[in-house]
Parts: sequence; structure tokens; C-alpha cells
Amino acid sequence: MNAATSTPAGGDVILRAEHLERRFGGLTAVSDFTFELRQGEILGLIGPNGAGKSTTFNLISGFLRPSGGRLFLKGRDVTGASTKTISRLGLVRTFQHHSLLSEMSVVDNILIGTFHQRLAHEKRMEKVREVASMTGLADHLQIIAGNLPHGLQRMLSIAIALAAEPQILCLDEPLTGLQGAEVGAALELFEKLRTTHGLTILLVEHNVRAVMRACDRVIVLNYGRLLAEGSPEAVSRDEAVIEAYLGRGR
Amino acid sequence: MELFVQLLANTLQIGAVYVLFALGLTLIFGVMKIVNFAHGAFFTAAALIVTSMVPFATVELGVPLWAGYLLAAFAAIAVVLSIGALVYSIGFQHVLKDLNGSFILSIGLLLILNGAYLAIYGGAPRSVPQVLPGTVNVFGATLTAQRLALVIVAAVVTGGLYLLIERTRLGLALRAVAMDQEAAMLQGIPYRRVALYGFLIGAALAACAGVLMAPINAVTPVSGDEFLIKAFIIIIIGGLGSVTGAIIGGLFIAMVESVGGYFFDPSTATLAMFILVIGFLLVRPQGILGNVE
Amino acid sequence: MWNKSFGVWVCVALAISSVLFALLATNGYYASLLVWILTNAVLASALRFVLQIGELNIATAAFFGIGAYTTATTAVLLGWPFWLTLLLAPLMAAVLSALFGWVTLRTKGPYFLLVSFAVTEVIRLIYTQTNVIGGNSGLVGMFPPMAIDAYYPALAIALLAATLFALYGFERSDLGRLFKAIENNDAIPRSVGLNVVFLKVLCVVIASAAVGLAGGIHAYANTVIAPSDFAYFVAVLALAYVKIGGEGHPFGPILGAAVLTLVGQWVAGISAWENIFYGAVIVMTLRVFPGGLVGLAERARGLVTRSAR
Repeated sequence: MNAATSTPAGGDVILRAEHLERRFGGLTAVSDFTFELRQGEILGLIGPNGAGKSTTFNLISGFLRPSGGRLFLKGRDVTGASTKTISRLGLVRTFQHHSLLSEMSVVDNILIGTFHQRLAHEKRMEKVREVASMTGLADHLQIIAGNLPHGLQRMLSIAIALAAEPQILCLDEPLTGLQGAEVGAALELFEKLRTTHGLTILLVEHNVRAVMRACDRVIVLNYGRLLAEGSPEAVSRDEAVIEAYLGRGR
Repeated sequence: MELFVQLLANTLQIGAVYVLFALGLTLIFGVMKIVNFAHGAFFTAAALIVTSMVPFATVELGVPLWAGYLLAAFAAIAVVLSIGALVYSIGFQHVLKDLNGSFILSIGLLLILNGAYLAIYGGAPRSVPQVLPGTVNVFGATLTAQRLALVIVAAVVTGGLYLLIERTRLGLALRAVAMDQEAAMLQGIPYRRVALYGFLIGAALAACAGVLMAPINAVTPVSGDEFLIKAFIIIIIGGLGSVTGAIIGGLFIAMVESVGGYFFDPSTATLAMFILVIGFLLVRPQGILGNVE
Repeated sequence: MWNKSFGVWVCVALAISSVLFALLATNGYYASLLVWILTNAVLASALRFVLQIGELNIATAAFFGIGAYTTATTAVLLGWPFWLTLLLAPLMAAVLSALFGWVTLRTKGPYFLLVSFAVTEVIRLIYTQTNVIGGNSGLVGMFPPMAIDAYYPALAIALLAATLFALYGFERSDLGRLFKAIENNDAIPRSVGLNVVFLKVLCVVIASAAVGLAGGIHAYANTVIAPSDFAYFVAVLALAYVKIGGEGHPFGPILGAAVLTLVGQWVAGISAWENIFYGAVIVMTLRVFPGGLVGLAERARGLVTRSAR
């Protein structure tokens, strides 16, 4: 598998899933799901509740083993690899729920992200301050994370991931519960991470409007299968996608 | 063939008590999410009461031995239920779903109860005269009538519990609470009351085991604790909180013990059991029937 | 900050004066009582150390026993030199606990609790069934060399106190921060590329090495060891020390061990009532002041500062 295939729409393929499948007992959460993530893009992954987005996230980050299919990260076969291997290859994820260390201070939360490498304490603290100022947490370092306002808690979960110096950042519902202005600020941060830090971002999000605004490409999952793929405009005009979103009320 | 039947009979004899004991523990875990280290104290209380009530009933009241035993059995279960209600209200209801808190609390209660038994009954082993004399021949294997009765009663109690859990409203509530306590409460199930009932049923099962064992083995104030480690192994294998798992696990451990004890010696059998547990953990950390988190 | 280092200095002073006391004491009873208190303090602190990752490790009792048996076996049966036998105790405990942790730390919560309980009781059974190491009656005759004998309590106190400081040091380090993170939410350290199982095993190994050393010291201090000294009940008492002293503070288990060991000396010998006494203390503590003695002291200090304002 040569993962460094150039594609016209973006950079090189950095992550590729082939026929990914995951069953829980008799239930198939994800099946025959093939997609690729390209260097430097912001890719949105959307779909109705229970479509298999969280399972996909767990599969590509090593938190779950796939029941079938293959996964390639930077050209290496990482099917069934550990969370450690995947994270050290540069793919770091956040969580939708329980996304931080609620009983520890903000500074300790971010510090945890730096422990994947050997560093002097001062270097670590430098990294913490850098990440904290990027995510608007610089003035809250000593607060216990569980006591932060909701918007800053979402930012902190991103900060922990950033401290681990990822190349691919996978964000699981990072906008949940954010107010209007906060959503804008978060989207700005994503754009900045991509342009100035060269990050590739995979974004799972309920807020479809925000996804359409932020992403270069969007893929849509429904009942564990790929439903549509393309530019935000194309996807939002796709009949099957409209059906899936509107049809779920019936 | 004869050996096979004999080993099977031994397995059932040992397994019957293990199953009753482990069922109570696993039920309490399922409903309250606590591990009750004082579970053996319920067993001991029942067995000790039988050893003192049987002589009292036959000598002082002049009833026949079997009637005295039945009387003692009811008294024992009643007393254990009272102890259960007492320790639930002063202790366990405050540590529901708190593993470390309930562990230390149950140890504290175990110390108090064992100390009390020791103060009341003394440390010497106590026994009960044989209630059902004679032996029975089943497919070439010899069983004492008493042990056969034990197996039958234990099977009936286990079957009764199974029906209770599968067929009654209380059983439905117990299962719902064990599966997802918050969802059960949203459905209007009174969690605290269901937890109390689950706890008392568990205590009564241990009491049954104690009543059944009293005429067979000598009883000391720590008799019940000897079952504790085996019951733990059983519910690790069966899956914590699983009723079917406790039954399968109890019979399985009894089989390892009777077969291993026949061909080797009891301590080898215990070691074999332990190695099996390690093997189980490597393959299925959540037990045979436990759920993946 | 000043407060924290002040507390450490108070503890250093306490440790030094304990050693001096053991060197100067004319009555051997008090020196050996002090050794016993510190042994219990190490057991309790090691139990609390593993509580950092959220697991209740009953096998603390087993690794205490493994340390004691390692020292006793190499000293009595093999006649190896004193320092070597003492050094082997924590090493053996560390190696075996790594194996134990590697297998059992795939489970957590109630499963780990029950498995560690079963391991403890089975290891005790193995002692009773092994005739070479004395079966049920255990091993007798671990004596420190003549030159050290008189100073042994002082040496034991120094080593045990150093062990307590070492555990404290680990807790305050980045490693301690990781242990707390695992307890709080183990998905986060996993997501940033840390091997959580390895870290958990490491936590158990550090705690087990500490109790292993305490076991080796105990073997020489007591000169007699038997399988029944290492039943799961040792861990239960250790947990009682932790709970009564206060789980939230590193000094809690030490305080709890000191108080309960002293009280235990007083009620010892009346076995039924001893059980009832310990049981009642545990139940009362849990129900009345769940923060333990340290928690009580902190609450008292809170009241004082609030009224001073």
C-alpha cells in the first residue's frame, strides 16, 4: 500500500481506512467504511445519531480493534495497533464526554499531554504555556478543570491533545454546548492550527452548519456505512443526505 | 462409570453450597455494586443458630429431631434476615456503589459479627446430630441421605431464585437496577427499596447454605469465611453480578475440586483452581457471562 | 508552599528523633513497638499508593509476606549475608508484583479487588503446603549479625522512614501526577500516547517493593514468621489505618498506623473483644468522620481560620 498517493484535491493521503468494520455482538456499528484523510485538510465527519461516528473515532485512534478492514497511518499498517503506537505516529484524539481530568488543575491536565516525550520540567512548562495561550486558558492555569466554565472545558480537552504535538488532530464533538461567539472562536482556532501549525484535522460534529463552514471536505455516515462524500456544497445538496437527516424524524 | 457417577455426586454436593453462597454475593453485587466481605457472617450465624436451636428444641421442647431442625432452620433464617436489615440500615445503605467504602465497611461489620459469635458461642467447633440417617445408592454411587437432601434443597432454592428473578415484578426490578440503576430509577423503580430486598435475598441464600451445612460439617465462628475465597473465585469466573454465571462457576469449581481432590490432593486442586482463574483473566477479564464495559 | 515543605521538615525531624530514640532507649519494648508502627505505616502508605490509580490492592499483604519469606529463606536456609537477604526482599517483591500486575491489572475495580484477595490467600496456602519453608509453622531464627544486633531497631526505623519518604517523593513527582490522571480518567493519558497498563504495573511494583522491604525488616525484627502473618487481613488492617488516618493526605496512613497500633497494644489479648473493637472503630470512622483524623484536623483548622477572619 503506497499511502503517499497524491490527490488533486489536497495534500498526500495521511490516513486511509479500507473497508473498516466493527461489530458488537450481533450489531454492526461500522461496515465497509473506506475513506482517506489528506495532509493539511479539515475533514468533517457527520451523520445522524448512532451512525457510527464515535465508533469510527475509536477505531482510528486504537481505542477499539476493528473486526475487519485495514487502517493505514502515514503509510504504515496500523490495523489493531495500540493507542500508544497511533498517538506516537501523530494521531491524537479528543473525547465527547469525560474529555478532561476533572479533578486536576488546568496546568496538570495540559502537562499530561507532554509526557509522551522526555523533557526537562522547564521545557514542559514552556509547552504548557504555549498551548494554554493558544486555547485561551493562560489565565486559568491553576483552576481545577471540573470548575472551569463549559466553553473553556472544551478548549482544555483540545489543549491536552495539542500538548501531545499531533500531526493529525481528531476532534470528537468539540463544539457541543458552545455559545455563538465561542463557536466562531473555536472555528478560528481550527483554521489557525491548520495554516500556521500544519495540522490535519478530522472533525466529528453535530453542528452541521459549523462543519460546512469549517471543512474542506465532508463525509457522511449513516447506519455505519458511507452515505456521501465531497465538498460541503455538494454534500449539502445530496438527496441521500437530506433524506437521512430529515427522514430520521419519521 | 461408577467413579464418574461418584465424582459427579461429589461435585453436586460441594457445588450446591458454593452455588447458594456465590448467588447471594453476586446478587448483592449486581444490585448494590458492592462486594460484601461480611457475606460469610450470614452463613455462620445461620449455622451457629442451628447448632444451638436443635438441642434446645429436642431436649427442652421435646419435639422430634426433624421438627427441631426445621424449627431451627426457620429461626436461623429469621435471625439472619434481621441481622441483614440491621447492617443494611446502619451501614450498607450509605455506601451503595462505593466499592472501597463498602469493602472497609463490610470488613468492619465482619469483625464485629465474628467477635460477637466468638463471645457468645466460644471458639470450639459445634455440631448437630444427623437429621437424615442412612445412605442412598444412585447409579452405583453411594451418597449419605443427608447430602442428597442438601443437593435437592439447594437445587429447589436455586430454581426458586431463578423463577423469582425471571418471572416476578421484584425480579424484573432487580434485573433493571443491576443493568442500569439510573435508567431504572427514571422508570419509577424505587432503587433503595429494591437494593434492600436484593441484599436480604442474598443474606437469606447464605443463611440457607449455613442451615444445610450445619448437620454435615462442624461449625465454628469463622466457618462462613472459608467459603468466601472460593465464592470470589466463582464469581470472577462467572462474571460479577451474573446469576447464571454463579451457578455455572459454582458447579465448575466444585468439579475441579472433587476431581482434582480425587486424583491429586486438595491443595493441588486449590492451586489448579487458581491457575484456572489466572487463565480466565487473560482470556476474558470480565468472566464467562460478564458484560464488556 | 512554605506549609508543605514545613510539614516535610517536621517529618524528617520526627524520623531522626525516632532513630535516636531507638539508639538510646534502654527498654527494648518501646524500640520494637516503634519498628512495628513504622512497618504498619509502610503497609498503609503502600496500600494508599496503589489507591492513587484507583485500585484497592489486597495483595499488599502478599508482597509483605514475599519480602519476609525471601529474607527468612535466604538467611535461615541458605545462610546468605545479612545485607544481601535484606536487599533481596524488595527485589523479589518487585519482580513477582510485576508479573502479578501484568496479569491482573487488565481488570479493575471489583475484579481487581477480588483477584488480589484470591492471590493473597493462595500464596498463603502455598506457604502452608511447602515443607521446606516450615509449612504451617513457618520459619524461625532470623537474627541480625552480632555487630548490628544492638542497633537493629534504629536501622529498621531509618530504612522504614526512608521508604516512607521515597513513597512520598514518588507521589509528588510527575509519575504521581500520571497515577492521579489514570485514576481520574484513564482515557486521557491513553489518548496522548501513554501506556496506562505499564504505568499501573509500575505503581504496583513501587508499592510492592516498599512492602517487600518492610517484610524483610519484619523477618529480622520478629525472628519468627508464619503463613498466618500474611493473610489478607494484613491488608484489611492497612486499609483501616488509611481510612482512620485519612486517605486524602500522605501523612494520614502514618498517623492511622501509629494510633491504631498503639491502641491495638492496649486491647490485644482479648480476642473476641479485640475484633469487636477494631470493627466498631472502622464502622464509626466511616460513618462519623469519613476524612479520617487528618480530615478532622483540616476541618478544625478551617473552622479556626474562618472564625479568625
